[in-house]
This record gives sequence, structure tokens and C-alpha cells, in this order.
Amino acid sequence: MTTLNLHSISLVVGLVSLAILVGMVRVAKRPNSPERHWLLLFGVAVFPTLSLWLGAHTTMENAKSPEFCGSCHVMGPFINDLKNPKSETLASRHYQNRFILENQCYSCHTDYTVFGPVKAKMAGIRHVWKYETGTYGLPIKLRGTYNFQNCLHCHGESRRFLEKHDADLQKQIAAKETDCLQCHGPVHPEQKQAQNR
Amino acid sequence: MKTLTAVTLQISAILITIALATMVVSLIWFTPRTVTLFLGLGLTCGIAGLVLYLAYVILDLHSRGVL
Repeated sequence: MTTLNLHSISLVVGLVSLAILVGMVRVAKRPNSPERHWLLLFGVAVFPTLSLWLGAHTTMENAKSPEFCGSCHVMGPFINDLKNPKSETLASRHYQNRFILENQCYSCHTDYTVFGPVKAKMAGIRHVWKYETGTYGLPIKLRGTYNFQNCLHCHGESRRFLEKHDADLQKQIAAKETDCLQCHGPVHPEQKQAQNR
Repeated sequence: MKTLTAVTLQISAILITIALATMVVSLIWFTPRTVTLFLGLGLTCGIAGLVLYLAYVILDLHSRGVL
């Protein structure tokens, strides 16, 4: 199912649930009867729960796109860099060579762990909060340290990686004694440079 | 007791309506602001509404002597 279809279905289901819920005003005024209780159960609890679950899932899926990340203007330079054919940053090389097919920002900035997606979504909500309240500082910085295991999720077992990185280096990377940016990079453009673009 | 049961149901329905409304708004105008409104406020209201609905069911059963 395409994202657009899922989006439309969620919207229709949400509107229908809302209409049913409004209709429950009449049902609630009825005298107690088994029929009234069933209608209330489905109208107030079951349909809205299913709708909200579907809506939350759709929202989470749609919020993974680079276009969505770029909808806050502070992210504009990073998104422009992705599409800049002259850029040599790691992010743009991954984007333009289609090393990652979709959800490029999300793929690199989400840990491949059980709670990775949840942490990423919490971070996303914090970003929007800071953006809307204007409590962010420039230049924007990554919170905490980047988890380079995310790079290894795709590159770690590749032939090119195994051929170009000797066993000692692989051990150092696994032990977090060194990281990818010691040799590769930059990942994103310098922000002064980026903001002038 | 009857009033409390009715009020619980009303508040529950209002909270769930807010949740669904924020969801519909975020799906129509998909921006970071509306998404945060839905995920932050809407889902919280939705969960609170469902908890209150559960409370309504318990109160209703209790008032009818089932519980």
C-alpha cells in the first residue's frame, strides 16, 4: 500500500470515526439498554482507538521523508545540500547515488535497536517544540554523539568495507575507539557555508 | 452517582473528539506543527479519554450493582 493511499484511508477513517462520535450524543441520551452500551463501546472506544492507531502510524510513516524534515527552515540548507550536484558531503553522495532509496534523513539518524524508532520520534517532537518556541541555538548541533553503528548496519558486511578496512581497524570501529569520520566526510556542509546557499 | 457516571462519559467523549480532530487536521495539513499537536496533545487526550471511558464502564456497572 502506498503512503498516499494509507494517508487517504487514515483521513477517511478519522472523519467517519469523528462523525460516529458526534452521533453518540443522541445515543448517550437514550435510557440504559444493552444496545446503548454496545453503541457507546464501539462509537466512543473501539472505532476511535483503531482510527487513532492508524492515524498515528500514518503520521509516523509520513514524517520520515526528507521533505518533512526540510519543512523547518533551519533544515533547508541540509536538504539543499542533499540535492546539490556539486556537493561532496557524505549525505549528498548517499542521497544522489540512491544508496538509501527513501527516508534518507531518518535512515541515518535512527538507531537500529528496539527503541531506536521511538527515540527518533521523541527527538523529532523535541525538535519541533524547540523550533516552534524558538528555543534552539545556531548553528544547530546533533544532540549527544552520533551512533556509528548505524553506518555499519549497511556497510558493515559489504565486500568493499571488508576489503578496505583491515581486521585491526574493524575491531577499533566495533570497539568505538575510532569512527567513520576520521577518514570519511564531511557528512553535512559547514553551517556558515550552508546558510549562505 | 448517576451524574458522575454521565459526566465521566461526556469528558471521555470530548477528549476523544479532540484527539480525532487533531488527527484529521494533521492529516489534512501535514506540517511539523500539526503533527506535534496530534502526537503531543491529541494522543494524550485520546489515551486520557479511553481511560475515562473505562472509568465510566466501571462506574456504570457499579451503579447497577453488577460490580
